[in-house]
Amino acid sequence: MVKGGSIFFRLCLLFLILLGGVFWVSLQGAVSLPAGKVIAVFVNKIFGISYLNEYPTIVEQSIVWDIRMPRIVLAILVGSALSVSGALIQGLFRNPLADPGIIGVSSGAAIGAAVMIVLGNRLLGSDIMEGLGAYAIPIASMIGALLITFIIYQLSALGGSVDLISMLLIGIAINALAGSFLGLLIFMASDDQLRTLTFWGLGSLARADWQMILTALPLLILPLIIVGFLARSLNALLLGEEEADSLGISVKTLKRLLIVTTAALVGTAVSVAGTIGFLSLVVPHIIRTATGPDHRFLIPASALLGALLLLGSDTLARQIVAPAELPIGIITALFGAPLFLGLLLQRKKSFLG
Amino acid sequence: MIEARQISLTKGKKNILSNVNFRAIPNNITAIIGPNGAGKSTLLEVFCGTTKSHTGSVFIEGTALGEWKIADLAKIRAVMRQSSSLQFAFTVEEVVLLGRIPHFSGSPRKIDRDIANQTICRMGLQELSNKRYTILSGGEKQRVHLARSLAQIWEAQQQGKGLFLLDEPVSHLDLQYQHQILKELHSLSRTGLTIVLVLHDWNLALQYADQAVLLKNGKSINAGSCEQVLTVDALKKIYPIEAESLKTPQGTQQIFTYLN
Repeated sequence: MVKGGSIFFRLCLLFLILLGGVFWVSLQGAVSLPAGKVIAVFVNKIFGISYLNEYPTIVEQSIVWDIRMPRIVLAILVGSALSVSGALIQGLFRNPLADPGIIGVSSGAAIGAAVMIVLGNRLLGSDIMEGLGAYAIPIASMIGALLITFIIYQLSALGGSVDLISMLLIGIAINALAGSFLGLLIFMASDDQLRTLTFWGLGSLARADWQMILTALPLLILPLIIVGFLARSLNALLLGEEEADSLGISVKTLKRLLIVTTAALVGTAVSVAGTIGFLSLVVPHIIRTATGPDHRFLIPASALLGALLLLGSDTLARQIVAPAELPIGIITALFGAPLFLGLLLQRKKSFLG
Repeated sequence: MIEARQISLTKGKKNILSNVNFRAIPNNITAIIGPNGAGKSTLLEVFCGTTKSHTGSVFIEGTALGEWKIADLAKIRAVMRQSSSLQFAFTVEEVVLLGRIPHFSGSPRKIDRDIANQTICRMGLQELSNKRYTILSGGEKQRVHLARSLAQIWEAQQQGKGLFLLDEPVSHLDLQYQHQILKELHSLSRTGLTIVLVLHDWNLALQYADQAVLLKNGKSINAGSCEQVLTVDALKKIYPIEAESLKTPQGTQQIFTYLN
């Protein structure tokens, strides 16, 4: 296992790179602002004092703090949530190619969200909907993700460990089912609902605002904290369920925790940003290649790198066709899908026979 | 030390195990022998605690299996399955350190690393210690898991309490590795461990095990020292094949089998 000291050093390094990334991205946008002004806004908002002799206007403050920052923070949250959920689901299925998008968990979350948007009022009544408020869609999304994760686990765990082919086949079936179900909901949706729905297909951080972040924050931070305590048990689980059991791990509890935390992370991420593919596959893969599969490092490092990559992809998505912007899912798929194919090819032998 | 009394287990209407008594003591290898479907692996599963639908009682170090806390049991009992499904590229050292999981919380301590290194040396894996597990050969992987299991029950073994259960540890290895692994287990057993293994091959049992329990149709039909239990007559009773007794140059009894 990676030695304690070097784990800390590498995580710090990743964190510093992420901070640098945040600063750089906060400079990018339709209005060009000098670095001094941007720093001044940060210092003013965070410490309540003015910085040097920079006095940003209200508009400039609003550009940095109300337009750019929420989007940056959302990219960081969604990026870490998706990447950590990938690491978790790969551990749960003991297969480094498992991905919430490919096996259908994200589709489950999208169905949950779509059902709530289109049928929420009809199913629950407006009183309950009002009571749930901004949490209605994330919660529905989580329940969708939870159901699908559970079903996949039941289907594929029949023979003990989960082989690649059955996992992919189950993913195909679930994604197809989800696709047709989403189609049905779109057919039933009103114009207004339709606009909200289309956005799930491609994924986007464009709706980011502080209100949304405040809603999503506890739903993401809580599972991330729980996950922090699971690293040692997850390492044992990679050996197999029975092996983990002989190492004194209570496997049933561990699996339940994994399924619930994964569903919470994927569900919340999908409810705020739509389905963004491949990040959950790519990020843990990069970390494993660099430092091995030890979850004590893999989980925090995936969170940091995932945040960094999604932040970068989002900036690219905003800049490439400015003033319009690309859906972010296109960028992540462009990088992720070839890598996934490459990994499949690498495993072709075991894959085919 | 492990003792089992009157173990019975039924699945549907089929008796998998009926009234099996079993006992294995430290400094000995006890082999569970029998044809396919005799209930060998099931008996081992009962000892592991993964099967709980049995009647009868199992005692490990004098305490009933159900009364052990799973975390405490993990410190004195290691289990090795036929082959592990580990698909992740841990280094050999990391896999062996996984065996120390019952002993630390959070990160492995220095003593955990020291013990892991000692078992790595013991299994002759020093040169592979930084290699990725996934690129190793079957025999090397099996040795890594031996080192891992040994690291798990290291302290218990020093106190003469360790219990090591193995389900067909050599069944998919070539001849050289079969002998190498069993020889290693044999010398390990002399350090205070109680070793119980499921074995198919009577001759390997005769060469490396001390005690044998012979199962057929879920019943223990004989138990005792290998030489007494694994005889030509016993073999002919179990399998419809012919057999002759032979001796190795060292004087160990072996059985030569053929069809008439």
